[in-house]
Parts: sequence; C-alpha cells; structure tokens
Amino acid sequence: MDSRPEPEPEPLVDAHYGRLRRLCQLLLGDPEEAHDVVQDVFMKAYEARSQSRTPNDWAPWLTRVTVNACHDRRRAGWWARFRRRTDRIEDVPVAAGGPSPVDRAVGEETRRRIWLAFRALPGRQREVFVLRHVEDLSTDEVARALGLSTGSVKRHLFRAVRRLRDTLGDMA
Amino acid sequence: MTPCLSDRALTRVAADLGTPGECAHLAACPACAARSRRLDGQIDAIVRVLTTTREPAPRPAPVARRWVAAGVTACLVAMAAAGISTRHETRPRPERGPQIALGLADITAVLLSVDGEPVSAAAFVRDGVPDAACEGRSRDDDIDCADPLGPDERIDWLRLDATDAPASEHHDEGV
Repeated sequence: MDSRPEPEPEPLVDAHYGRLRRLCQLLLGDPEEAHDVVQDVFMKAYEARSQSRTPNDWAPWLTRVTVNACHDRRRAGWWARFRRRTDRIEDVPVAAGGPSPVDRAVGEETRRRIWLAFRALPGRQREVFVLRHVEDLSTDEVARALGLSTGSVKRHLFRAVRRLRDTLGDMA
Repeated sequence: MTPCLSDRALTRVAADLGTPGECAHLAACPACAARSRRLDGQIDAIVRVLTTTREPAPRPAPVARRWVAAGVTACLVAMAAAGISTRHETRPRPERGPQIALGLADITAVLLSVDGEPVSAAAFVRDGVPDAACEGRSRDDDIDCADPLGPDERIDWLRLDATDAPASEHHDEGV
C-alpha cells in the first residue's frame, strides 16, 4: 500500500489556489474566466484523487492541467476576446518628459504598456514566459508542463523576451 | 577576444540558446555581463508589473471604434447584397411591345376591313411602334392618325353596326 500522504482537498486548494488563479488570469486576461478555470481544475483534481490517479507531485500536475484548460478556453472564446480586447500597443503614447527611474518603474503609462506588450505576445510565447519567469519553473519543467521539447521552450522564450524588449525598449 | 554581444545575442544567451563562444564572451566581458544583468532587470520589472499590478481596463474608445468598424462592414455587406438582388430584378427582358402592337394591329385591321381585305397593319404602326397620335383616341376624333382609309373615308361606326352589313347578306336575307 502507498504510504505517501495524500493531500486533503482543502490543503490542496489553500496551497495552490492563489498561484493557479494568477496563472489563469495572466493567460486569459479575465478574472471571471480565471476563476471558472481554476474551479474546473480543482474538480479534475478531486476526480483524479477519487479514482486513485493521484500524481506524485500535485504542483506540476495542476500547472499542466491549468495551462491546458486555459489553452482550450482561449481557443473557444474568440467572441469574448473580441468584445473586451484592449488597445493596440501602438495606440498608447509613450510617457513624455524625463521621469526618474522609480517613476518610470511605477508610472501608470509604463504599466499599461507592459501589460499591452505582454498581451500582444502569441499564446504559446506568453505561456512559456509566464511559466518560466512568473512561475519560476525550469526550462525542463516548462517543457513537461506544456508537452513541448526543451529546445522549443527555449526558442519560444527567446522570441517572447526579444519581442517584449523590442516593444518596450528601455522603459521596462 | 570576440566583439561584444548584440542585444539579440544577449537575449539568446539568456534563453539558453547561446553558442559556446557567446557564453564564453559573456563570462569574460564585464560590459556584456552588465548589459546582461540589465536585461535580467528588465525582465524582473516586467514580471513585477504582471504580478503586482492589475491589468488596466480596456479604454472605451477603441471598443467603440471596433463596433463602428463592425457596423460599417455590416452596412457594406447589406448594400452589396441589395445591389445583387436589384441586378437580378432589373435584368432587361426582351422587348415584346412592338411585336404585341403589330399583332393587335393585324387583328384590328381584319376586324375593321370593309371589303374583306384586311387593312395593312403597318398603317397603324410606325417603325414597329404603335402610332402615338392614335393611342387613346377614337376614330371619330378630329385627328390625323394615319388612318389607312383617309380622312374622307372614315368608317361610320353606327352604319357599320346597324345597316352596313355586307350587301350579300342583305341580299340573302331578302331571298
């Protein structure tokens, strides 16, 4: 019999809800949708647990299921995205004047441009960037979570960072 | 020593895609190392914004522009559809007016013939079109409408109806 302690439902939620919610929100850009997806993910976790398909480590399992759920949701929600689509990055003026580095770091316009640049990334590049730099996963872990090769993850990451730098210049 | 790395090469190295030569240069060059740290700082700043700030709400104006664009597109599609259906409806049909007029004129000529010979239909028609001067007029009107019998030989309609039956018929009746 497996002596490994199984996480109880509540601790599982407590341990991962915030992280998964943030991940969904970054990938989907909608708080309500993010909440729905996280609920679905935990339902799948309970189903897996009830069917004795408990993974060795919940964190990568939950991350993988969450990313796939966001992927499916993004493909299906073209109309919702059309309705709430934000500005194009070119439409936002660059903050004028010579603000201090601190002001530049926290300026509202800078934040807006960073968000727009991030939203302008292709879906896969956004996923890789978030998992690698926000979730702080290693390249191998990102590859496993997304079902990609390590080389593919590196290329997506390189393109994402280059694109962000090209768009934002030295302002970030 | 190799020349300093470009921004693109630095990004490539940061993504673990750098060549051994680029990685070696980065390890040995303080200037490139400083630029690499600056690149890392930029990524950290982006991540900090993404994790600590709310995503700005979309501005209303671009959304309105989108709806205006969608409306204009819908109008154009509707106009194109209306144009196509109008073209179908107004497709020119073969002109049959002159043919009908000729046929009617032939029938009229036979019916109005006095001596059994039909009056030429062409007399009521000019260039394949019914003589406009005759349209809507009776034969008693004082107007020259190319009457084949001429103004002095107009038919007395009353006489035709009552007494001007063919002579042979009167004769037969008398017999």
